Amino acid sequence: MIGTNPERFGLMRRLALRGVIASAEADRHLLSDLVAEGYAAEEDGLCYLTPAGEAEVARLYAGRLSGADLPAVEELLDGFSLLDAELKRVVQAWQLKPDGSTNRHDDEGYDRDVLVQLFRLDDEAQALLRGQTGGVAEVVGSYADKLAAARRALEEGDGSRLTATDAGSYHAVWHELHEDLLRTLGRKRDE
Amino acid sequence: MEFKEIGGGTPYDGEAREGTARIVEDARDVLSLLRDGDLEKIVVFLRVPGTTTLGPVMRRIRGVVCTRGRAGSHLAIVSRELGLPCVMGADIDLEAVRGRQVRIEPSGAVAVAQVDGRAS
Repeated sequence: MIGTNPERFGLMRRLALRGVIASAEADRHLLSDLVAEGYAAEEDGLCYLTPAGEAEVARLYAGRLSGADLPAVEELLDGFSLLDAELKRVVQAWQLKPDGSTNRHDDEGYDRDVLVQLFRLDDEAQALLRGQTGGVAEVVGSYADKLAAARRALEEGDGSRLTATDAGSYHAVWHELHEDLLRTLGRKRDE
Repeated sequence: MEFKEIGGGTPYDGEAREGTARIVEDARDVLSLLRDGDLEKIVVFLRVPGTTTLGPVMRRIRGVVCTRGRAGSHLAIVSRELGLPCVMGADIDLEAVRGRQVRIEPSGAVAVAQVDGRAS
């Protein structure tokens, strides 16, 4: 449904989702085109969407799926939002002990309990995402794979894969998926 | 320097931080911060708790205050991961801090420096 150029939409999506990225991370030709069209700006090795670019990416998001797919996305977002509240709670428990102090990860039992809660949540998220079909499945399929990869790393003992700030952590993938669903429906995040 | 509390939000686990308040509304403001330098003296104030735009500066600024959101918001999660003091849901007027010396406390309090009994 994107039609024109999926790579162009991919770059605009990345700019929309991440706000500011290093120009070196973008395809030079695509970025130059976006700058020439007034959809992106580049300064000091960084690039971002202009207001015109934000409007254009919103237009592309609106055309991303057929109208027939939108009720399924609405239903998916409803289910995802319920899981999102739980994810926030689990992530907070991972970062902070109940007394509000920083979790130094020196209590294996505590960390194991939090991860059990995360994996339970992930089971539900995977069922929700992989139960989608057609155009919606194309939108969310890669996210299910990325969440599964982060989970595997956590199961193998890499605790950084829950909240690390790089794009591959469980939280980072989850946040991007949520933002993608919201933008597909033309909505903005509450928090 | 004396500070007067003007409001507050969620507490954080860390130390008090002082710095110059800079308001960030969009990506252009982030690039302005980078151009102006001295990020290590800056406390960023913003309104959007789900923002990702602060990515290029979060490892260098003194702290961040958001007028919306909660401890579970994306900005709070990323800030904690980076050890950056972060106050969410702060009930303050951003114009009251613009360009001023501010102090944020682990209690979530936000205060503005006073000069001769008035905000500096």
